[in-house]
Amino acid sequence: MTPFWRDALLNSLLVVGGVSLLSLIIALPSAWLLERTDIRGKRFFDHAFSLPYVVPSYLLAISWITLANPSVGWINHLSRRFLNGTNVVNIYNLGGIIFIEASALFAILFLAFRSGLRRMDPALEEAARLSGASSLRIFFQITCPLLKNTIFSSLIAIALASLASFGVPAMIGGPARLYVLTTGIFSLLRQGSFEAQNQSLWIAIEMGLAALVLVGISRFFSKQQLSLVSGKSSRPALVRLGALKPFAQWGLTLSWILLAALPIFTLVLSSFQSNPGSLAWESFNLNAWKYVWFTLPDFHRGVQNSVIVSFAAAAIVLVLTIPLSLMAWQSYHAKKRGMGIFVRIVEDASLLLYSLPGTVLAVLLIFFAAKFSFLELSDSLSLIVLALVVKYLALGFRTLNPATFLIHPSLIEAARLSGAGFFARVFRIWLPLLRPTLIAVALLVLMPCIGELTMSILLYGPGTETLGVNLFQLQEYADRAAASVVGTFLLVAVMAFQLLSGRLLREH
Amino acid sequence: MKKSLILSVCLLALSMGCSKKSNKTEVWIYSSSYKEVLAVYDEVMKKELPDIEVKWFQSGSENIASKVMAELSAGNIKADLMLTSDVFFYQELKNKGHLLKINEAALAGLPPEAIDQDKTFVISRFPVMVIAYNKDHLAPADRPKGFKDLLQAKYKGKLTMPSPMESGTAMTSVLFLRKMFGDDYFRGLRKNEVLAAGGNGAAYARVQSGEKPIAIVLLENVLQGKEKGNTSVEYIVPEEGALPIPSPLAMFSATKHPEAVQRVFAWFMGPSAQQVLLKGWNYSIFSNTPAPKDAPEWTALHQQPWTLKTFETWGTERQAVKDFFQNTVLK
Repeated sequence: MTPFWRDALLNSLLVVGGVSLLSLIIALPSAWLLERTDIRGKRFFDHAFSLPYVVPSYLLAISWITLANPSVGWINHLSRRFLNGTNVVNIYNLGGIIFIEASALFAILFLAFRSGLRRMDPALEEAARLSGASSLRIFFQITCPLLKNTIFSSLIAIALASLASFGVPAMIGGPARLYVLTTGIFSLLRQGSFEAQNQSLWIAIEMGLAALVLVGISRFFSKQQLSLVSGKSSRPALVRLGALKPFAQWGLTLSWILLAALPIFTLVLSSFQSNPGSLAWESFNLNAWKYVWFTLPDFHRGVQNSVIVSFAAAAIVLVLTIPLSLMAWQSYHAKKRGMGIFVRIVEDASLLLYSLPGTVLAVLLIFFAAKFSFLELSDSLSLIVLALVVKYLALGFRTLNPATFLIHPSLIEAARLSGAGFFARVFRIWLPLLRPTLIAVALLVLMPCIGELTMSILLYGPGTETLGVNLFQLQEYADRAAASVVGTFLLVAVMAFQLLSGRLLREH
Repeated sequence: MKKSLILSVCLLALSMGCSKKSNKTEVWIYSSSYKEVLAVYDEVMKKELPDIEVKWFQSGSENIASKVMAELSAGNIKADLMLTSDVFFYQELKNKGHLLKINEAALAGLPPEAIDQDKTFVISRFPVMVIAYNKDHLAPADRPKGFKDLLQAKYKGKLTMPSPMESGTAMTSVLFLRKMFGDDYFRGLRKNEVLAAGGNGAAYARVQSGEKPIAIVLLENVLQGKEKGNTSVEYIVPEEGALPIPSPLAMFSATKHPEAVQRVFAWFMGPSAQQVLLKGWNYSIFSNTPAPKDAPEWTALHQQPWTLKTFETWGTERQAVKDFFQNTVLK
């Protein structure tokens, strides 16, 4: 292994470890405060802390570059003015990568831990409390050990996501001369030589194997999880924070401001800043917005391509998951063993592909497209759609499959006895009953696809630039204000999808 | 309500996905010129070559080189013409037989020094590398006079340049500077913590913001910035001379439309295209064409001497120099 790859591997491991640890520090106390104490504004914080889950992490990187660039970051501008010319923060280092990744990924653990607390039998905590244990002791000796499998499997999901991340390490690590495995592979592929391409394939395979080991560990913990948590028997008594309440309230509020509100506000505001080096009133205008909407030809093409690939991927995932889920249902109720084995193989394969880092999938697809060149996949939108379908098929299947099992066989049997054929049963019974879940599946796939960067940046070609690619190129090569404009647009799109999905699911 | 919402989103997606089929001949050009310049080329070409539909792929020269290599290895090259700034890559492609021979008629009247000896590519324009600085972040006495000055300790942490891993102009500049000062020049730049990342646009943006007040960058970025009203960034012609970046134009032998492609090639060497490149603050290869707006005269650049033969020699060291740069400056 060359020194370059040794350093990249070490940096990747440090990022994975750092992000996991920081996510733990942020997610567990905030979820516990919201579920187990008398803190105010729970409904607001529930939504607020879930927000980073849907925002692409590279948008947070763009914001933190604007805020904490060592020379011209807004925070340093202010600190130089008020602290005798002292710079207080520099985002261009490993700590910066870890902080930004954690501020996006901690939500995985936050949501899982909060859900675990809700499902957990509070009688266990109550018993400890009655025995005189302090809240802190109960948290560390009862709550966390009971939910340890939830914590471990979420941490592994975070580790996988941080190992696979490309946008943040590329934007933050580049100026600091820090490479991780994904950015190393990207830079290898940029060299263009055959040797570099082959080397990138081997590195990608090794990275994929490491990811699969993590998946194996995760599955081990998720299998054990069921036996440790019992059903909900009563509402937990809320811990009264007393004098500590204002501190906890402020702590939560400041954490949310730092992790989500400040970077999102900065992203939007920086889209109006024509000179990133100046905080003067005159440097805020609509120039970048005008440039992106009226002059930049790639923007409209990027929007069009992103819409096409996202909708196509969502449609294909639906088309594939509907028959698979029906086959799973059929194999269970009609005891068709062969069909069940087939569905299980497809499910396991799709889960493995879902767990593989996007960079690894993209490199494999590049070689696939080159090997089967008659398919003319190279540089086409089809290649990006294929990558997205392969990546998100498991997401669709895992969401739709449990919903099909909620449909009782008697309904289908009644339709069959009334003379309904196969297609009539599918279109008159299955699809109407599954409609809310189908919409949820489509939106779940659309949300990550619309701003996808990690795979698109390696797979795009002439005329197939997506929004994520546009944004990355603007940020890295040309115009940061314009990148913020595209980022704001993307943010609005992703949040609109989330609102729409929430509303549609509530209506159903 | 919700049905119509979903339906309209689907219709929007479909309508965006369906494009009108054109009867025009489609020609793909891969270019490292800025998007604004390509937009002007496109506008003029639509009028003067109405039967040809030009499609552009814009990126840094080295990114385009890697894309072309990937396409060639997949046996599915999409590009018909290439207009970038990495002359070494053209020589490599020529040696592997991937370039189409230029029609004699298109070469008539071109300066002989701009034509490849095998007539597979020509130098079509000259961007030039200078030193830019932000006058709000650098006292007049501290402004460098030439490339050698950038090694002074007082510039530590203040320097930036585009990366030769991504930009062809940066690659050519690195080879020029290596010839002028040797490898130690880059060890010195590394000692001064030069930030080499992205293309020229990114390097200029760092100077404009004051993040790094001095850059080795293209003159066109500075002049374009001035035109947009950014008055804080100025440039100097280095005392060692500006670095000319001979930027070639070539056609791929695998093109499906050789006749149309030869016409597009001839158009690029004609008067209309030469006027457009002046709007992009590039210098023309024709000595009778004036300097771009607000740019110094060609003779005032005191540019480093070059011939295509020189580049051929340097081309053999290109990968080794990239590796050296990666392990010295980017590490």
